[in-house]
Amino acid sequence: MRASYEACAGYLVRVAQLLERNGVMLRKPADGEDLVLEEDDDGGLSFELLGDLPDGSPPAMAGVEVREEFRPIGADLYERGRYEYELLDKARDYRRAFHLHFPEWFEQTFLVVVHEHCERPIGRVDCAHFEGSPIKDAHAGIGVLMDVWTGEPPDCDALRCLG
Amino acid sequence: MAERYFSIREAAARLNVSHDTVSRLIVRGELPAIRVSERLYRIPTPALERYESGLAVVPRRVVRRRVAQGVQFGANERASDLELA
Repeated sequence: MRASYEACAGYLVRVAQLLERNGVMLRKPADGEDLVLEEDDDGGLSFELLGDLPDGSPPAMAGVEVREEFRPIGADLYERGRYEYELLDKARDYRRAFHLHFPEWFEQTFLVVVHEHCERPIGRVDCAHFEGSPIKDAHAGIGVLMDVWTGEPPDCDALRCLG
Repeated sequence: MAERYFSIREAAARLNVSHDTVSRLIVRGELPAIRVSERLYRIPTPALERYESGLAVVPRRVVRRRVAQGVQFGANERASDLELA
């Protein structure tokens, strides 16, 4: 996925809207606050959205995290390089996560670029990294998280462990 | 919350509209839904409640913030596993 700065900003607006349309109550940024595209010293752009999924009674028992980074590849041109989509479902006591980060290390170690995490119960790590499939953008990532949340609790043993 | 999602039929009954109306809302992106098979959708309960509330999802402003380092990735990883220097 490649985009200009303006396109990245528009994308971030739509990602935040999708989370809110799904009923996620954003903690970062909180209600009424601006969305933030952070520009680092290398010219990369990144954002982080954190929220909670209500399940009927406060406090919310599921946390959602979305992070993405776009690295500069030309004049006003960025390419999506890293992502993290996370679901911490405290009500059903599991964690699922879908990651693309440290790609060089994962390629060198496991011959893959993306990986997943699955903990059930939360904190029980029988396998540090599971095989995963690339997720094309945050809209798809949010869809995956909502699919997990509305489905049966995950069977971590059914996933292929990378190590 | 007993159920975490509604079928289209259940959502239509709750909103007091037709099955087709809910399908159109999904196609137009006004009501988030997960397609679990060719004909089956799950509408997350918080999404339906948000829609039902009538609260508009207002687009937010984006600000560009210059920082030394951007968003931290890998915070939920076991750093020792990654052997990151």
